[in-house]
Amino acid sequence: MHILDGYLDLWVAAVAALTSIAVLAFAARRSAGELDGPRAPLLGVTAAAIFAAQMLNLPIPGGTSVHFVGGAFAAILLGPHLAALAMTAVVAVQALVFGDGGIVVLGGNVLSMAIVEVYVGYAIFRVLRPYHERVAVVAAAWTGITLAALTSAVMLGVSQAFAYDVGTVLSIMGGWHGLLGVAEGAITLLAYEFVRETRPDLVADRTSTIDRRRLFRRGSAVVGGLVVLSPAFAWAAGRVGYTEPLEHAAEATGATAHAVTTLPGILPDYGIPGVDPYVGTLVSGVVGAALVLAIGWLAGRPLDPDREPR
Amino acid sequence: MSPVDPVSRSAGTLTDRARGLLRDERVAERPGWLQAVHPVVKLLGVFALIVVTVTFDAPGPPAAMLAVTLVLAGLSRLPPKAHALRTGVPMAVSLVIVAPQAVVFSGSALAGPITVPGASYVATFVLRVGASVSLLGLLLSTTRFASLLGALRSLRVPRTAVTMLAITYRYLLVVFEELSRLVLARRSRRLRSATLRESWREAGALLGTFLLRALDRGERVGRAARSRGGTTGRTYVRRQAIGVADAAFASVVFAAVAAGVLLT
Repeated sequence: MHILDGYLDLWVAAVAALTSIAVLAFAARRSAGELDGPRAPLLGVTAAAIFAAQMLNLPIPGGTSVHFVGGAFAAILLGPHLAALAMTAVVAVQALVFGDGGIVVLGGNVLSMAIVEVYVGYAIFRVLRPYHERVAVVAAAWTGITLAALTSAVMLGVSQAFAYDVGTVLSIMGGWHGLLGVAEGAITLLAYEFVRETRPDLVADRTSTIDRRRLFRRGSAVVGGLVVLSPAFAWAAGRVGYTEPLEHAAEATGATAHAVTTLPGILPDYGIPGVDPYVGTLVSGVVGAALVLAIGWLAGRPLDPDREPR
Repeated sequence: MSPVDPVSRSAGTLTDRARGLLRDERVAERPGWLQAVHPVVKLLGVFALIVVTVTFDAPGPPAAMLAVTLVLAGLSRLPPKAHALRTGVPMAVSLVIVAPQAVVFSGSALAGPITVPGASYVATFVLRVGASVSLLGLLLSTTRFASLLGALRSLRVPRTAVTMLAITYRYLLVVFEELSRLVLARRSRRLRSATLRESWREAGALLGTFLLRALDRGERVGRAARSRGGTTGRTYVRRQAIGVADAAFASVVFAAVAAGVLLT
C-alpha cells in the first residue's frame, strides 16, 4: 500500500500532508499528557514492534503469503490517538530508513495507513464491541485496511501523474485489499484473543457501553431530518433530471414498453395518488422510515445483551 | 518443518532488513561527497530535487535526473549493487503497473498496439519513479539516522515527533532480534510441517507474545528513562560547519531545479 514518489500529483500530496498534520496535531493534543510521560518510550518501542510484526509472513492457500499490518490492533491496544502517532512513526521510519514509500508523498501514506486505518478500525471496534467482541475485532481490522487502501486509491485516481481513473484504481485496490483484509481480520483476532487471555488489563479498560437514550435521540434526529428533507431531495432530483439507473436503462433499451405491474404497492413511486407529489414523498418517507425502524428493532432484539447474555 | 513455511521464512526477512539497516549506517560513515554534505542541506536539496522530478511530463528530464543520481551515487561510494536493487525493483514494479497504458493511450502506432504517446507516458512514469527512489536512496544511504533526526529538529519538527522516531529506530534491531528468536524457537519445536490452521494459530500466539513482550519492554524503557531524569529525549542537533561539499551540492540542486523549471 506504500505509495512511492512520482505516483501522486504534488497538490494531492500537499493536501494529504496538510490533512495528516492537522489530524496528528489533534491526536498529539489529545494525548499530550501521555506523550511527555513514560508512555513516549512505550509508544516508540510499540511502533518498532509493529514494524517488526509486519514482517511476519503468514501462509494463505495458493502457496503465497500475507503479512500483518496492525493499525486496528494498535488502536485497540493503545487507543486511537496514541495508535495514530505510533503508526505514523512506523510509516515515517519505513520511508526514512528503508525507503518504503516516498518522502514527498509521506503525508499520503500517513493519511491512509496511520490515520484512516487506525481511526476507522477503532470506530468500528467501539461500535460493534458491545454486540459481539470477536466480530468487532475482525470487522475493525477488515474495514480499517480496506478503507485505508481505498484512501490510497482515491489519491492515486485523482492524480494526473497516475493515468488510471478513480473507478479502476478503487476497484482494483479495494478488491485486493478486501481479500487481504480477511487475513488481517483473522490474524488480528488471534493476536487479540491471546492478549485478552494473558493480559486482560490491556484490553479491558476501554470497555464501551451504549447509551441507549443518547443513541435513540441521535438516531431519531438523523432519520427525522432526512425524512423532512425528502421533498427537497425529490425537488433536486427533478431539477437535475435524475432517474434511477435501472429505470434509465429500461427506458434506453425500450424494456418499459413490456413492463407489467404485478404489485402496485401502497405508495407507488413514493407518492399518494391524487395528492401533491412533495407531500406524497414526505408521507412515503415517514411511512418507510417507520417500517424500516420497526423491522430493524424486531430483528435486533435477539442481539440485545440483556436478553441473551454472552 | 517445511522449508517453505512462510512463518519460518520471516526470520530471513527480518535478517535482511537488519542487514540493510546496518549497511546504510556503514555506508553513511564512508568518506564520500554526499556524506560530507550538511544533513539539513542534503535533506532540503533532495526534497527539492524530488519535487521537481515528480512534475516532469516527458521522458528526457527524469532520465537526466536519474543519470545525475547515479553519478552522485558513484561519487559518494555507494555500493552499486545495493543502490541498483533499491532503484531497479520499484522501477520494475511501476513498469508492470503502468505498462497497459502503452496500449490504452491513443495516438500513432509505435510497434503493434503500442502507441507513441502510450510508450512516452510509460517511460516518463517509470523514469520519474526511478529518479525519485534513487534520490531518496542517496539521502538514506549517505546520512546516519541520528543526523537525519538532527536535521528534522533544526527544521523545527516537534521534539516529541523526533523523539518517537528516535526510539522507534533505536529499538528496531532489538525487536527484530526478539521476533527472530520467537520464530526460530517455533521452528525448532516443530517436528513436522504445520498445516495452514496450525500455522495461523501459532502465528497468532507468536504475534501476541511478541507484542506483549514489546509492551513490557516499552514500559521498562519508560520507567528507566524516568529514573534517569526525563523522557523528553536528546536534541540530536549537532553543529557541523558548512563547507565546499555543501556549496557543490547546493549548486547541483540549484542547476537541476532551474533546468527542471525551465523544461516544464
